[in-house]
Amino acid sequence: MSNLKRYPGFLPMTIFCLILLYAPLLIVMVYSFNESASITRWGGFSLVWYRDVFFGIEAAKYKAAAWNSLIIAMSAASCATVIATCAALAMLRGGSFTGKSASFALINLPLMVPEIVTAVATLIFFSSIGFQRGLLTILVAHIVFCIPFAYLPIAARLQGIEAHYEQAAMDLYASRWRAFRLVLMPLMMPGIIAGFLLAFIISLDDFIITNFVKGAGIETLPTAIFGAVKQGIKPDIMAISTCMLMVSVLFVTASYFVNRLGNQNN
Amino acid sequence: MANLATALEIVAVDKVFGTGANAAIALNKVSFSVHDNEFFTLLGPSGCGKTTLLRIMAGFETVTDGDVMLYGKRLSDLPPDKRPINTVFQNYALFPHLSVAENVSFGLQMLGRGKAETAKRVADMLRLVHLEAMADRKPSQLSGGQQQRVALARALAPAPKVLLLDEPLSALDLKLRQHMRIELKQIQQETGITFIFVTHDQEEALSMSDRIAVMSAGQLQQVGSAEEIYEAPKNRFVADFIGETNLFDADVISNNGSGLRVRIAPGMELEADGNRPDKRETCVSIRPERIVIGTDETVPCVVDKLVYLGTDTHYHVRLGCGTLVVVRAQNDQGTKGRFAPGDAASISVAPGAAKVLVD
Repeated sequence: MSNLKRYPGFLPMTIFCLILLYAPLLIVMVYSFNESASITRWGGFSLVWYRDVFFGIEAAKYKAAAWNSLIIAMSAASCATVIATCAALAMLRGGSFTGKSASFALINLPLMVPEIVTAVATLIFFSSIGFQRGLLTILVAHIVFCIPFAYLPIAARLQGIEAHYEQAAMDLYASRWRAFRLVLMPLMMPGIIAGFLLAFIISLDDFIITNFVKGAGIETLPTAIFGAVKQGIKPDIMAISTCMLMVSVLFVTASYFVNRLGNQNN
Repeated sequence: MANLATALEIVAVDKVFGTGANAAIALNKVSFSVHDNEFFTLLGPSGCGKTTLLRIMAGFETVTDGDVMLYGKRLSDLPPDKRPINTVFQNYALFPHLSVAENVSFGLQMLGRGKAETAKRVADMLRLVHLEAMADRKPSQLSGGQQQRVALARALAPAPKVLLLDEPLSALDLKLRQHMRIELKQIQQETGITFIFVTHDQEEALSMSDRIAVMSAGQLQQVGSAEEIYEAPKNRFVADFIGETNLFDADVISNNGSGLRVRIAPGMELEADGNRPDKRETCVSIRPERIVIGTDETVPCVVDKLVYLGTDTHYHVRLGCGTLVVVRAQNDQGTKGRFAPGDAASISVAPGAAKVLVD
């Protein structure tokens, strides 16, 4: 790897990729602090659009959407984490059972199915069983697609924990449940937290499925932003986007540190 | 010393992993009893089934057939947490998120013992393994030897009826290992708990055990004291696995009831302990240290090569018929430096040194 830099075209390729990936984000962040209402011309530094988002005419709308997003992300991530933890325990500690590979495929399938397909299917499902669309439909749909994202870090963590620990606990008179609660779960905790954070972010920024299954008049932040953009891109959208980006960065960083802490402990 | 009441009994245990064409027999009709307050060792090469047997005793594996009895009660259907048996795991399996004291108190807490009783017991156990000062450390802050002691203290704290030890010394360096052998034996005698120790290291087994069960390929080969196993091995495997030995395919000349007169090489006849009725050929074992190398021309031989081992020298000598014999001689004034490769010498076998083996 040390001589990677000597490959011809390494530097231009790197710069090209970095620009492609991060220039749009950077522009959004920079222009969210733009004094002028133009999205192309710099008019000086200002927090006017942030004030607009938090206290302006549309503040109430954004606030409601943000609350919806947070509540759904929190609940969906919590439920998905519990389910994913159970799934990981069954897959990695349940011994061999019929349909094990099928179960593994089913858990991870949502990662492979195009989101738009899931969105349409979920919508059809809800209407066919007569489920009134609203916050609850969003929540159910989010729990489902969050499970594989929560599952991956939890399973990775559990895979690294030797079965000896639970056996030692049971050898010392702990029931299966107490062995899990007192020994295995604390050891799995970094993975569980990482899984929760990942599921939280995935839920927070989901647009396609949410847009299909949400009830009329109910918005999450991504759908609210999309609605606003349809009427033309205003700088306050950039301010909201920057806020969301910060929340995401915060969570990813937290997840990274939790993982590192967990690795140090072992 | 162990008294002869039976603590644990293994009754015709079979263990088969897998089914059909993939079935692998791990244990084949293994039966033996462990006495109360005994230091009992399961000895065998890796893959002989000794760890599987230990896991069956602990409750982590089920038997395919047979029974495990503890003081006359069937254990086979009880889960690990219902058995008054504790284990010291090979890699210790200390709970990394708990302190040393919390690790040691884990079993007592699971049993619902009172706070005061638990605290006292933990303090006693830490004193027993000389780790009083480490109570608040995390396992990751301890050396390998210290972790090993914590694992021991943790398993002893609930005062189990039987303590299982799964190669607990294998991760330690030689000096520490030798020291821990003495200490383990001492702790066993102090606590009066029955120890069942699994190892592939014969020196460990010989130096600590009241009795040893030698296993190979899923079968029990011999059970006996260290001396019995070494001095009177029952078969070829035991003789060869424990220590070093010379194995001869001998012709039986006569049978006097308590022993056989055998010819182990042309012109080399001797009395061997043991009996094999109606056999005209048998395997005979003679330990290298029971053969004396000299120049008195009893059985002439030629020194082939010698291996210097510090306290001893191994002489590989060739008899007239070409048979190779290993002789072990202590490096005292008598023999040291007397022979070099190519020298003519002679060997004589000490009385009672030859043992008849069942194949």
